[in-house]
Amino acid sequence: MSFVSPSFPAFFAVVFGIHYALSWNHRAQSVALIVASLGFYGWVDTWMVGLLLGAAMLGYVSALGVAADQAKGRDGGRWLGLVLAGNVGTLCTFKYFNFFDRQIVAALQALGVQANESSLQLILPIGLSFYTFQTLAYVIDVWRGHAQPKRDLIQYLLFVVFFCQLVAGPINRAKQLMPQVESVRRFDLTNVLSGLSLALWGAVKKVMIADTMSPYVDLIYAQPDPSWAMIWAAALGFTVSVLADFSGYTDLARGSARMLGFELADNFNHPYLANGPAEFWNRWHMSFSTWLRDYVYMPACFSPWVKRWITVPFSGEWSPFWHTTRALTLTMLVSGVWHGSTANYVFWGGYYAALGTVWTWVHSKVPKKLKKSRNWRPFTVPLMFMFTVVGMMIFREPDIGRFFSHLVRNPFGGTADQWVVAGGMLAMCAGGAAPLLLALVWERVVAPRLSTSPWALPVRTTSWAVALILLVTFYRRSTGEFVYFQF
Amino acid sequence: MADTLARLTEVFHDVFDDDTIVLSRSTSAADIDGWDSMMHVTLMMRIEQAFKLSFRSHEVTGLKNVGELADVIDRKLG
Repeated sequence: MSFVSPSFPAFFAVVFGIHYALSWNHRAQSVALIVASLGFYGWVDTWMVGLLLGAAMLGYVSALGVAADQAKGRDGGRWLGLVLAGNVGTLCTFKYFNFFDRQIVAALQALGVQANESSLQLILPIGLSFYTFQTLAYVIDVWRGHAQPKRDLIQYLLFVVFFCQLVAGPINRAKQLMPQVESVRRFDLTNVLSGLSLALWGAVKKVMIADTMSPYVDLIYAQPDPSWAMIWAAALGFTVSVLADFSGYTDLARGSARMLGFELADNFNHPYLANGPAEFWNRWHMSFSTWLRDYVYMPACFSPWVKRWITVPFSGEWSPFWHTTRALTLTMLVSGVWHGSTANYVFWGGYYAALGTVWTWVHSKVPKKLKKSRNWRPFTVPLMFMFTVVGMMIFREPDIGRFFSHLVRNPFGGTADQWVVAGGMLAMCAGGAAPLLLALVWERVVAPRLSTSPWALPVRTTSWAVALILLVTFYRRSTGEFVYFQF
Repeated sequence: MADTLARLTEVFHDVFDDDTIVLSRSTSAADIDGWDSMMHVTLMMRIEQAFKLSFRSHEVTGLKNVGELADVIDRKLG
């Protein structure tokens, strides 16, 4: 079930009612939420529930195994290996089986061997990456001593399968979510109203901005020979719509969870205002970026194996710059490969690794006085945004050859009709970006002053009414599918 | 401990190119301009060189302040 499907409000109303009716016992609340979550997840394909429970149980048993081993003075690494092999193996099988199947068949055919693609075309279960990463983080944190293993299966299961975070994150850490799972959730009107506002804003971003813009972006990308202006306008359109889509999804997830008494991890903090790649990744898909930082980048930086076998032999001496560059490259390539098996995702990861490295190097050469001046950020933010649009162009274009052909098109070329299309797309970008900018002003200027004002309730109810009108108006265009469901 | 903090201060001055940094146990990333996740790794690597020790990743993630960092260093050196 999708957060923007017509059946979701009814489903959520029932869950909400039962959840707070059971507020005398938090275990009963948790059982009800687990049942609701499995129903939510199994709405389309019930077999996916089995995979979800399998991954959850592997994490449960492994964390307890790690704790038992460590209590006996052992490392517990064998359990870590088990959960890594199980979860990463499952993820890779579902994500890359079809890709390798095609490659092997193509290679055999090139050698003159008659071969056909396997009839077994695996479908990636929705949310597999997200609950796999959450479970892995939990076991690694237990192994590192950063989290306590959970013996209570009910509370642990809710931590993994809670429907608000299940299908596309945010990826929550045990130390943040587990205490909330373990405590009773009582009805709090302030939280419910705040959650409702957040969820409605998320739905507006998804339905009004993302679902309105993305069909036009797709149409331009589907053109065999778009003009330079068209393709850059479409890349800008994708940049706006993908933020509206994913942050809209996140707001729906966090808002729904807040209404039920949970505070999930934040995922977006105005990423297009970043003043460099490092800040961009601190603002974009934050729960995944911090996951990569803690479980890929940091181990790559500090692993004795990497230091001994990679750093010294290749750089001749121990150098933090080259060491972090290699770790960053590995991390961004992992991020790219995680997004998909097509070459553009790998290239996209390499692009951000190169951008991060060059940016850091150049930044280190800029005089400190200039970096601290008021003019520095107004220069770096638009520059980083430009690099972000290029990154989105790579992300959106599966054919790398076509991406490079876009770069070398004549900027002044194109028919009159193509210029009209590009202009229309740019107008749509402005229309899509305007509510996002207004939200920024609301968040930083209006909301803090409104919280203690007598106008709070009338303004809030008016904004809900406007949101509902917008949702009804634009809903017929909505696909209900979110971009990040495919990952 | 005091010696560790003094040696750490030297490393911080070098990494952040700022001799005005004064460290205390409660100093955190929010107090020092430029101490982001990328710089954190460089800082930890410089500390490894200065103190001639080797961190594991779990020892340098989730540190709340300089005091916790100094504790990790003292534990490894002790």
